Amino acid sequence: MLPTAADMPLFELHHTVTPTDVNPLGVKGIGEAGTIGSAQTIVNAVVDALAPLGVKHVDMPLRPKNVWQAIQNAKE
Amino acid sequence: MYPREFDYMAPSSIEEAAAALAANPGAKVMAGGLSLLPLMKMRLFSPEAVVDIGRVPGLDAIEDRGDHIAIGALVRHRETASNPLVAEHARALAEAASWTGDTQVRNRGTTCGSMAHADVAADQPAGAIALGATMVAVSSAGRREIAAADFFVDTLTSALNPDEILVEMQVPKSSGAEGSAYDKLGRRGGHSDYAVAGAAAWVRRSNGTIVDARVALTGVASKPGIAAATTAAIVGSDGSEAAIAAAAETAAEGFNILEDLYGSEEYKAHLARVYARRALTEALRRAG
Repeated sequence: MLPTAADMPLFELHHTVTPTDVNPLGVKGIGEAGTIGSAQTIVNAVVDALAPLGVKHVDMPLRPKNVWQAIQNAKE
Repeated sequence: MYPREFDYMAPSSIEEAAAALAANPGAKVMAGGLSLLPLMKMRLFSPEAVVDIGRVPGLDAIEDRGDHIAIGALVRHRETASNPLVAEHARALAEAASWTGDTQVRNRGTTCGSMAHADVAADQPAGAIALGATMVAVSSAGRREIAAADFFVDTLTSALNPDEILVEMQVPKSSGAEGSAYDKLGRRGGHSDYAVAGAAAWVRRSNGTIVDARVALTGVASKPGIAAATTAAIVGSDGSEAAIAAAAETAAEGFNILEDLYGSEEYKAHLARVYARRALTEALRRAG
């Protein structure tokens, strides 16, 4: 015997609203919160590393050809 | 996906295999099957018959033949990558084999199979060309030798006739101050996966001068080939850092570079120059 969706008890749903003060929107991540910031952290690190070359922006994904192209574009 | 129906033949000698190919014009040779079977399962290619040479004895060895080493049709990538004779005389090929596919592919796929398949982004063809290898083909009509530089004709097209079997690849043994190297950018970064671009270099030194060389590229055009301008520029030079850099700068010349998902024409030309320089630098270091 395995419990299924039909075996769920009745429950009431409430929300708690506690805005964070560490960002302008007051929003927090839920679920896979750890993955939310990682991509932009890495992209920002790459843009920071390339800043001396004049690069201000790189679109994801950071494929080698995209990073190379961003450097070429900054040279022009 | 399942392949379309096909006849399967497992001959026990090269003569039998050649006869089977001659009798079945729609037949295809299979060694490891790592390239052929996926094509058949995706139904991109549906041969009427498959001639499996996997049970033919005598094709699975790497032999010392005096002036050259011979790599048999059933020698797996793993063996090419780890064999001491290949390491000594054909280092570029060993490196290329070590970065072919993944562990499972290297344990099953064959070096000669990779040659015959002639994928534009395969690693080992560049090594074969740079090392001046010779492909030995057998059919019921006899035996034929094809220089590696003439073997790759177009995308997935080698110089083999439909009734010919690539039975072995021969690589000249190195004599004295020679060195070779292969380097690439893989599609998944580093050396992983097919080459976005790769270069193999072979050089021979004498009294401080480079007296002979070959630089070959893969992944950038419809077939691997010699970087003629780079090769011409490095021969006769002292192999200094400046000489290598100047020679590598011309690497993309003469290639009709094809853009794909992994790189624009400009990016691939850039990679050709970078990897030609790296392969030449390492080959010269090994030449001593």
